[in-house]
Amino acid sequence: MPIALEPFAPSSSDPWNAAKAGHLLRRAGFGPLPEEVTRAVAAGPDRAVAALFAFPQEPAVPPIFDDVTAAERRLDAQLEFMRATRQRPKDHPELRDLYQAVAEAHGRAIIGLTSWWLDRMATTPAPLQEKLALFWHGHFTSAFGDVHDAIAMFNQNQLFRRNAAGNFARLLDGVARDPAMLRYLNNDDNRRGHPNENWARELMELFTLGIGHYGEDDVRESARAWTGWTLRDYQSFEGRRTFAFRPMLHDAGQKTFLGQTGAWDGTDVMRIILAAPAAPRWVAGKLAKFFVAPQPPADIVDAMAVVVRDSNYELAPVLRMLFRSRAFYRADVLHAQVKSPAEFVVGAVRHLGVQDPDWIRLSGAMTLMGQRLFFPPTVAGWDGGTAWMNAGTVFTRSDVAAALITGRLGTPNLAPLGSPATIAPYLLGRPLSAARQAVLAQAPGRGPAETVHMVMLLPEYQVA
Amino acid sequence: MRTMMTRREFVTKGLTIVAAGATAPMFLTRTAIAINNPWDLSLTAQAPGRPDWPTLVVVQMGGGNDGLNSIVPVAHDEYYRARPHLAVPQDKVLRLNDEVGLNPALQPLKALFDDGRLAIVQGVGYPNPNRSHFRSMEIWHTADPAGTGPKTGWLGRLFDSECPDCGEIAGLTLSSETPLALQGGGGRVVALDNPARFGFHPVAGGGPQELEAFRQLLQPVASGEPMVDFLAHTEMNALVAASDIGRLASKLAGDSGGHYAKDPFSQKLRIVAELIAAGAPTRVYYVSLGGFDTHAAQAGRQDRLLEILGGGLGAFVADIKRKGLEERVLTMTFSEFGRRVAENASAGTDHGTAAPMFLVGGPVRPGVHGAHPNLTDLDMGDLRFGTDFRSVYATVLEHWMGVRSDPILGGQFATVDFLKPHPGAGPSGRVPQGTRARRT
Repeated sequence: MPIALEPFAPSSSDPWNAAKAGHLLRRAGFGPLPEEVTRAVAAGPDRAVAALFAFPQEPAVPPIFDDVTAAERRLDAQLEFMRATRQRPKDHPELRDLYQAVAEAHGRAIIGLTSWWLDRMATTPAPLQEKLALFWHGHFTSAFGDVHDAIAMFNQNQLFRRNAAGNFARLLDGVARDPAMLRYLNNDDNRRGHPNENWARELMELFTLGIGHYGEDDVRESARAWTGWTLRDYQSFEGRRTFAFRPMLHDAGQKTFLGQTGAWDGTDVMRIILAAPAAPRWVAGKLAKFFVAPQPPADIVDAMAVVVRDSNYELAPVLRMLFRSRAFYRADVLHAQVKSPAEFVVGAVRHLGVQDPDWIRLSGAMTLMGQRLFFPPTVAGWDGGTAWMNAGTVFTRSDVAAALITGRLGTPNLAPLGSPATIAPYLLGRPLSAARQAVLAQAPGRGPAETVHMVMLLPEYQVA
Repeated sequence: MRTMMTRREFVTKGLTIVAAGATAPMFLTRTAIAINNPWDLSLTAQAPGRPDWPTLVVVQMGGGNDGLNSIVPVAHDEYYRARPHLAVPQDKVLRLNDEVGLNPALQPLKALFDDGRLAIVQGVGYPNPNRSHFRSMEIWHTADPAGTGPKTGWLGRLFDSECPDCGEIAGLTLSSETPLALQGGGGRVVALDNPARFGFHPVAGGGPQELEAFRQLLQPVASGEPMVDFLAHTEMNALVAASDIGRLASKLAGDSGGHYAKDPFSQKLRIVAELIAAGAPTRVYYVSLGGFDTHAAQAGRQDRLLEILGGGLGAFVADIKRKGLEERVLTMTFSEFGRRVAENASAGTDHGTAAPMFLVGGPVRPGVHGAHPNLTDLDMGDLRFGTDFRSVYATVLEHWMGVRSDPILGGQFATVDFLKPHPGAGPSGRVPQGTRARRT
């Protein structure tokens, strides 16, 4: 075991306590409640960490795609009829309305899917699974604005959930065949003689290696290897949501990629990439930036990279070892992360006991905070860390907290938060500093709602 | 001895000064802090002919805009040969001269060109071009292709070096994240979506005293946790900025003029125009339009984006003129790179290199500047740049902002002649450096 990931050993002077258990549950989930922290303290570090990895069965398809499938079926039927009768689309202006209906149904469905996912983050018994799905969504980005297909986005979301703490190589292979990704980075258009470099480039730059570990020639050669990795057909919506390797479109010639020459295809490219020393470090660095700190300590990243490599890209071992390590509870890791908008909003809903939260408006607020699920801003995902916080997003967080507290976005239950003296520890998972507590106690107009609001605006509530 | 307010003093005193000034004239915050502000002196008193408070609007075209289909080289057969599907037909191009013309989707820019309010710098890039979106964008933001300098933005360094105790809103971006270009050592950048909504609102049923309580809660305490301290600082700055913006709010609400389209980009430019007219103490506004990464089916998509770009800029310039601010506002567009000369199989184009920049507004010397890149002497299928983007930045910094560019850009770059000379400036149009005031 790398020394930086040596396990934390509780002692009387450094016990496993609420501060550490709260830290673990904040990083591995979304706004833990005090009773959950209490349970994790009682369980001890081994069982508390192990419990995080008890993922439930894959959730069923949420009932939000009925409109989409109905609209698609109408359009497909019309197109099928026209093909059979050899009619030309341009003679049928009503097709336009059918296409429009499909597009609008997908637009409604992506809103429904966003609400479904946020609700799942708030209520799942396995928050780490959803936290990891969110991590992979920001890593292997695809945006609905380019994919235009809510079902394809859901399928990709399930891929992330299924492989959340599985094997990175297997996840990568799934992503390479994922229809949303094929469309987002245009590999569905990548064919022999006319390569499209988009996927080939981002695969190395953002998904596996990082800049500096490949050259422009490798991008071009890799693009050739990925030719023919595309969608089954464009005749139906289902065909556009199904991967196919089409040999006719594949460039079967020799390629020299990262110094190795052969008649490579996409599978070979992935194999060669994952054998490069930079790859485990890239994966470890991305995980550490998310779970440890915006600028994670190098010793932790190095140690995680070794574990990723030695476990053949299994993800559970490195995560388990990280969460179990002494280093994870070090002063440069505790409270060193900024809550993402998802963590802030889902955590606030949980902390305030909001029944029937208005996820549609909450996800709209998350957009203003800089995180619109299924619409990552660029293929690099969200920067995270300090980039979440600026004057504009501070006030959006304030307005959302106020709206939740006063019941404008669901029905809150503030009773468990107790009195002004207990509100801060309830929400922060630790006592407020004496200096700030004194100000809070003397603040004018300190009704419970105002106290809750002020605590939720404190820098201490923005960190995880 | 410098007698400026320290930053912390400003953060605490600034609120009081601003709050006291409801009846003060424009640039209240500026007046409040200009007591010792060298930037003001250099820009107004010591930069003869410079308009009062020159303002820069930066428009980022994210994703890599295809320059060749923006400024179309109609006279070059190589262009038509390289792009059998994507080339803009000669008879559609809006001719600017014998060699090049605008994409027809940029009709509003043609009108600005004819009206003497558009300058184009062709073939802008940098040595050893990087074809990664993120690295190349970072290069344009930091103005540091070698990547050896501090990871700060060129405009952030402008705020740091020339405006040490300016207000909290030297830069303002209409987005939920602050672009690297605006990030310096000292902050002073505000990111907001909508100034009308921007600010602290007490919880319903609470009162204005909650703001005061919140302000007290944010007073620096040594938490021993760097992230908590950083966020406390960020939140305090937000309160200061909100009080500045709040002061302008009544003026913002009153102006619904201008003929902007409904798209978000045009609406952001409308907000910028309102903020400038209301007297926001801001030097640089930043607006982004993304989606230019046209690897597939480029034609319809880029056309639509260029329509949005041109429509927004056209409406903005007209609105700025109507507000009587035409000589005070310069707009500059850029993208992280242009695209490959030859089209790909998807009727799109892959990542490329050099591309044109647009400079828009009353202050420009209209016309097409710099030579069109050679379409036969290519670098791995890409254009070779003719003008370093740092020359464009240097021109903006020296001839528009009125500051020395070399400390900001890490070297001296030749300026480009795309700005009108201002009466009183030297023969080269350059601000005489030796006469700039420094309060010591």
